[in-house]
Formats: sequence, C-alpha cells, structure tokens
Amino acid sequence: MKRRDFINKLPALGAISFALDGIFFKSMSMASPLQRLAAECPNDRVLIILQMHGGNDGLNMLIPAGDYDNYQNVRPNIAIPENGNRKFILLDSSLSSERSVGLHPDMVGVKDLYDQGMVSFVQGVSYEHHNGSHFRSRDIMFMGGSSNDYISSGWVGRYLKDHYAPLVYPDNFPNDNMKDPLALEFGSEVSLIFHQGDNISTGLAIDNPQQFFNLVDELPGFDDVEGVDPRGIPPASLSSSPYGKEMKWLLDLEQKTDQYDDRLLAVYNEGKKFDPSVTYPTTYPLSAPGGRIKNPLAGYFKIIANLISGGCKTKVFLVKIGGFDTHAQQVEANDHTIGNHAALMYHISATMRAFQEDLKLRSIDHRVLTVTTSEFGRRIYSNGSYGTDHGSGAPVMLFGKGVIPGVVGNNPDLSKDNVEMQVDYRQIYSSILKEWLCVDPAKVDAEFGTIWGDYPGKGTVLPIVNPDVTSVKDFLDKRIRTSSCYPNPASFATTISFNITVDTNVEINILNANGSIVKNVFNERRGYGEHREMVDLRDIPSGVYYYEIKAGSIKDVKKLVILK
Amino acid sequence: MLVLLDGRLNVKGRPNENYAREFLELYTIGKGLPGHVPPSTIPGDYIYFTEQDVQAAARVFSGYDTDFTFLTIDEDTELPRVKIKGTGTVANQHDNDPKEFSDRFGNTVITPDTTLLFGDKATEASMLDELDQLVEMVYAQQETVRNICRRIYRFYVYHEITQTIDNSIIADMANTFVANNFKLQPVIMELLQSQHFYDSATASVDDNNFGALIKSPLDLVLNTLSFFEYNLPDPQTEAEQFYEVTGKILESMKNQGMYFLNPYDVAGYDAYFQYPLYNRNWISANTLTQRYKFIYDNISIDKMEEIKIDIFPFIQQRFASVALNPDDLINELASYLLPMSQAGTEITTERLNYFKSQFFVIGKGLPQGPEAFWEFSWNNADTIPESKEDARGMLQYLLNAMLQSPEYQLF
Repeated sequence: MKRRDFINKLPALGAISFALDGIFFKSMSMASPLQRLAAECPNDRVLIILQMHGGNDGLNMLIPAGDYDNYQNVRPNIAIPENGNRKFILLDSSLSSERSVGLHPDMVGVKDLYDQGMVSFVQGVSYEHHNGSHFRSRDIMFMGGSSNDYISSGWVGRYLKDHYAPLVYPDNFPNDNMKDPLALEFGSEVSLIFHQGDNISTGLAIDNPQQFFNLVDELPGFDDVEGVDPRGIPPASLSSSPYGKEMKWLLDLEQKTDQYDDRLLAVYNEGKKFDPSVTYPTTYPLSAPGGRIKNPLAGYFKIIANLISGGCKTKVFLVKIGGFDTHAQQVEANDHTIGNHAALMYHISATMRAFQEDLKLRSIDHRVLTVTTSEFGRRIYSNGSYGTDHGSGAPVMLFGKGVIPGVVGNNPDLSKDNVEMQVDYRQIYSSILKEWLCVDPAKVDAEFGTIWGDYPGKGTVLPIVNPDVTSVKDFLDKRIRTSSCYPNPASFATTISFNITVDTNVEINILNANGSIVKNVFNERRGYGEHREMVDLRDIPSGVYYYEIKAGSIKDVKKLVILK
Repeated sequence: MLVLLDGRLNVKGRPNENYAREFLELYTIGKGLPGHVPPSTIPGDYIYFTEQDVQAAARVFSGYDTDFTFLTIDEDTELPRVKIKGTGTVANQHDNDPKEFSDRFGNTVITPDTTLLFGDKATEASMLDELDQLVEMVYAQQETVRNICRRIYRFYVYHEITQTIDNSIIADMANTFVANNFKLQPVIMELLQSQHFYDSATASVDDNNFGALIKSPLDLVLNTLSFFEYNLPDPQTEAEQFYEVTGKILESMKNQGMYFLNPYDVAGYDAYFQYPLYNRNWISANTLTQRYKFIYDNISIDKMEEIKIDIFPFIQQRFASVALNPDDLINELASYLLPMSQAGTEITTERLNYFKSQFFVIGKGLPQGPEAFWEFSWNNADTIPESKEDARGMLQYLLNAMLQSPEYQLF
C-alpha cells in the first residue's frame, strides 16, 4: 500500500484542505473584476529558468558589433573575430550601431530562433553594487533582493505561494486541481529560488521521471502498513527543537517524494505518446576540452517537453548548466572561436532550437517561456590566461513565442572595468510575473516588491514579454521585406524585389494554384540589403500563380498572374 | 589551488584573480554571518574585504607554477612545493610592485623584502615572504578567525548561528584558536567538551542540539558500514574486490549528492556553506531516495552486489540478549541507530508499532501469529535452515524500515 492511500483515509490530515480547495476554485467564477481578470489569463503558462552556473561572459556571447574596435582592444587574446569563416554572426542589421550585436559563431540556433521572432536579449542586467562572489550573487538573484539583503525565500517560491493561496505548500498539495509538483529542478539539490521560508522548498529535484518512479516504487522506506502511521512524527514536545525542525524537513520531503513519483511518470509517459521525435543535440561538433563535448541540457529539456505535453501543470522549471567560471582557457589560444565557452554557447543554442521545434510540433509553444540567469557577467578586460575574471552586468536571453523579439539596451561602455547596469534583474522577473504569469501588477510591485526592495525601474514593465502571445509579424516585416513584383500581371518576365537585414539563405519559387512548385528561381545565400531578381516566365503558361520567398526561416507568399 | 583555481596561470600584467578571490571569500575571512552583515554603500565593498583586496592579493599570488617533477617536497605537508616561473633565481612573472590593500586591512601595503631580491628582481624567497605577509595580514583579522570557527560549529553542532551564539560560543572558540597559535585541534576539543555541546542532557528542548545534524552521504555510508562491523576487502591481497567495493560506495555517495573530493562548487558541498539551509541541502526527493537505495541494496540479501552485509549473524552476535522480544530488540537497535532513543526521548509508541509491523510482514498471516513465528525462527535458526531464512527475512524487513527512515538521516 502506498502512503497517500493511508493519508486519504485520515480525515484530519487530508479532507479539510481538499474541501477548501474546491470552494476556492468555485468561487473564482463569481469573484471581483480583478480576480476575473486573473482567471481569464491563460493559466497553463510555464516558465523555465536556465541557469548558466559560474558567471557567463556576456561579451563573448553577444559581441558588441557596433563597437568592435574597442572590443578587440580590451580583450585581444579572446576576441571573437569579425572576419573569416568563424566570424561572429551579425544578429540584426536593422539595429543602430549602439545596439548592433553579433552572436558567437556557435549560436546558429539562437540566430535562427531570433529570425523567427522568438528571442529577446536584454543588455546590462545587474543590480546596484553587484557582488563578485558566485555564491552571494547567486543567492541575491535567486532570493530576489538587493545586494545587502538576506531573505530565506526565493522569488519563485514567493510567487508560487501567492499563486496557490489560500492553499499552502506542502500540506495542501497535491490536490485535485494541482496534482504536480509546483516547481521542478533537475539534479541533486533544490535551489534557493524555490524556497518559501521555513517550509520545504516548492521545488522537487529529480533526474528522470522513470528512474525516480522505479526507485520510490521498490524501496521499502516508502512502504506503508495499514492502520499504522508510517512516518515517525516526533513527540510534540520536540517539535520546536532543532531535532523537530530537521525531522519536519525530512518528513515533508519524504512525503512529497512518495506523493509525486507516479504522477510524474504518468504525465511523462503521456507526453511521450506525442513525441514528435525532434533530434536534440548530443555533442559539440568542434574541438573542446573533454568534459565540454557532451550536451548536458538537451535531455532535461526533452523531459520537460514530455512532461508539459503530457499534462503536467508544474509552473516553473529550473535547468542548470555549469562551466561558465571561465577564468582560464575560455577560448583556445590559437582559435578564439572554439574552446570551453564556445561549447557552452553551442549547447544552449542548439538545445533551445530543438526544444522550440519540439514544443511547436506538440502545439504547446505558446505556453512556454525560457529565461537565462547567471550570477554575474565577466570583466570587460580579459586576463592573461585566455579567460575573464568575475564582473557584474551581463545580457539575459528570453526564448519562446511569448517574447517581444529584439534587443533591449545598448552595447556596454567598454572604457569601463565592468559592464554597467542598464536593467535591474528584478525588472525582468517582475515583467515576467506581470506579463507572462499574469500576476496583478500592483501585487508584484507592492507585496513582492516590498521584499524585492527598491530598484531602478520598479513599477515599469520591460518590453520583453508579449502578454497576448500574438504574432510577431511586425518584427519580421521589418527584417524581411518583399515588394510586389513588377509587372504583375506579367507575360514573359517579372522582377521580384526583397530586402533582408541579415546574411542568410534565400529561396524563391513560383507555385501553381495547388501549391506545387512550377519553377525554382534560385536557392542560395544572399548578403543583407536590397535585392532585385528578374524571373523568366516564358516556360510557364497563363494562369494564377504564387511566388514564395523563403529567407532563413521566414516565408512570404504573394500572388502572381501570368497572361500570355 | 595552482591547478584548481588557475594559480599557475596568474602572471603579472594581466593577473588571474580566481584563487585570490576564493582565498579571501571561501577559505579565510569569508563574507560574515549571513543576515548580520552591515549594509555596504560602496560598489565592490563586501564589508570584510573589497574588490581592491581581491586584486591586490591576486598580484601577491602571481608568478608561481606547478612542479610536476615532485622533486622539492615541503617538510610540513610532505607535498610537492610550488616553483617560481623564471630563469634560475629570478622570478620573472611575479608582479614585484607594492600591493596596497583596502582600509579593511588597515591599508596594509605588501612590498617585497629588499634583502631577498636579486638586484631589484623577485626571487622565490621574496615571493614566499610576500605570501607570509599576506597570511599574517588576513589572520590578524578577528573576522577570519570567527569565520573558520563558524564553519567548525556548523559541522559539529547546528547550522543555525544566531547573533548571540556568534558573540558567545563562536567568540570563545575564536579566542582559543588565536591563543593556540591557530591550531584547530584545541578549538574542536574544547567545543566537544563544552556544556553547549552536551546541552541535551540539561537544557530545555528549545536549545537542544541533539539529533540536529543531517548526515552527509559519507556519514550515512560510514555509519552504516561500521555499525554492521563491515570490513573492506584488503587492498593488498584483494585489490580487485577492494576497488569494486569502494567504487560502488563512491558511486552511491555521488548519487546521494556527494561527488567525493570533487564538489560541484568551488565552495565545497552546499551543506557546508549554502545559506539559509546548510545541511538540509543534502536532502531532496532525488538524494533521499538514493540514501534509501544504499540501505536497500546493501542489507537485502536478494539485492547484494559487491558489499555483502549479512545481518543475521550480526544480530545473533551482538543483540542475542534482547532479540527474542521484538519490542526490546527494536528499542535496543534504535538506541544505536536513531538519535532520539535515550530515556526521556525514546521513540514513540507509534514508531515502535510501525517498525514492529514491518518486522511482522512475513509472519503476520500465519495461524500461530508473528510473535510465535519469530520466536520459533530465531530459536531454531542454527538447526533448521528454513528458520534461519525466515529470521533473516524478518530482520531484513525491520532494518530496512529503521534505516530507510527520516530519523536515520540525523545525528
């Protein structure tokens, strides 16, 4: 017999909270306008936090293309080149020089996602008096506080507490409306970000749903015996002692482990039924130190895709990738575009592209937003060992259909020692809470905000998340523009003009009314700028046709009439 | 540190700060008592040290290299010593300019001792002298001494250190540490003999620190193996088995969240530094199941692989006097295995009943009842092979229940 069955038979432990639960959810429909608004917000959205552990070197991820000479000067021994076949990838030539950035050459996947309008970059993310300690700075950003704060809860833990109130974790969970862990993390430990004060964390740490289930299922430590409380609650006289407190921690965690293992496996297996078999990256294809070759992220992202599409309602996931503390050998001495950091950039980029594709094919891409975090950026000046020491500000990336694509903020001032703050990290999280997770803005700025302290930009919303997940047509139109062809109707030839702001592959086809290709005009790489292409129509009979232009991952189709 | 924290790559001109920062932040002066650090108003100021100190210390550490010839051995540690980068006596990669520290170190300036220089060039002797100056400067700070004592306290007593404890117990430990010329042993001895450490005997339950430490995976594994008087295969005569067994143990510890001697973070295992949870970080859904698995795999006869603990002869040898009576046996085992088992803090009746119900899983459906079945199996184990199997099976259920429990995770 499993433990939860036992608990369900004890009315004092379980029934009250479930009843409370039912009342709460029923009353939503006749609640105040504000509550109704909250109820209308899609409640199935998910946030993934991708932690770049060790302090990511933002300047070699997002190269200041518009300030390249200075960039080359301050880090001559690690700079990503602007020429050659491993030059940085110009992100977007429609950006002004203060904003113009290049991606690391191993970030082809991110470039592709950007061209589809699914990436937002925020420059100079930091907080006042950025702490150079891995541990302290990570704590500050996970707690959601200022540089002097010590808070025993994390910002996600507080959000989840509020989101499910009046139900309280762990006692009122799981329940009929929320069968899944509130948050999930992969690995051994649960990060401070999910904590909620004295209770066990709202997050659960596992490696893989199948292994997790198998273990809990076979271990006698999770066995129950009918009619006997199996948990070992200490005598009440000890409950406030350190022993009592540590026991409560252990007991609650043991119980959650026992309650969630089969549910997680069930939703995971359900999700696998829809698995569109997207190929996730497994290794870095170029040379890198041994430990960096294998992709440490893809497996976890695939599990997340399976869980979500299988019906898992977990709100927040955290995935960690280590290796960013690149004091030395960040790049190879003889080729700055490969090495430790390059492999990490590749792993993230290739994983995110595969993950977004996977989500799209499962039709859940409108529900998932991923945001990166790292305890600090690195110093503007490189050191003598092909690396960079601890710095402060750095760019943050957001991925998903729900982002407002683009670059927020300018390239950093490279005459400084550190990347200066343009955006407080709390602005990003509060914008996500407001626009993505639909938390009442007043509450974000007041209740959460009180704990978050005062920070620049408090009360404002950054243009990074699109609350409606509408189309990104404007963004794409600005970057790939096709004019109507001329002449149209045409007899023997017409000229198709298009403008691309990026160096990319372009394909033009003439299609008949059924959508079949009757003529491939060309399919080749084109540089950015205005292009005109004369198309020979002599071999095509009269009729209504279409011409399609595919540039990168963008497609545009227009009508063409041929009259002989 | 020359390898792990890039010390050997730190050269003058463009120093590598990796070791210097962690030397101050993690290994010596630290970041203060979390929650009680005065606020700072200046960027790069961490109250007990500043970014300026990190950069100055990095320059003191510049110009060293690893000596993989193992030819020069340090007398005290018997480990290979560093060597200097350079040609013969002159160290040419060391930053020989004065290093000025912040007001947190009284604006100390570390300069090379001119009598140790070769002309105006750095030598091994002048560099080691600068290191001496650095260590003296850092250890002269009360905060360095306290930081180290706090770590000892958390390891042996409890993770929560209040301001009151910091100003009393920790301050006392710090005095002992300084008075004994920075030797750790007297500090630990004093702590372990203190009233505070034994508070459980006299104080109220609120400051009772008994059973307040969550075992590390190493503690859990060693406790278990030594309780059952398990002997490792002899590394000389049974080398292969020795490595198989230790490999298995280390693998299990890794799964429990402790990659032995190779922690994920440069600060070590979360349990020893991660505010506010400290050793609670050892326990997650993932690691708790792995802890239970270690027990299950190694005391269950059908799961045994490399490590074979036969619990039947062990109980026969050590617990024969109480074994016949299930209540006595469970209470006696609990007194060894679980933290709360002494008079006044004994395991609850509910707990006893749960363990007993697990003990009786095999015999409960039999007409004579599980007590009689146990009595018969135990008494006849040496003469009837089936009875021995039954007794072993019942003990296996019991010990799996007692050792795969929240209580067993605590000291």
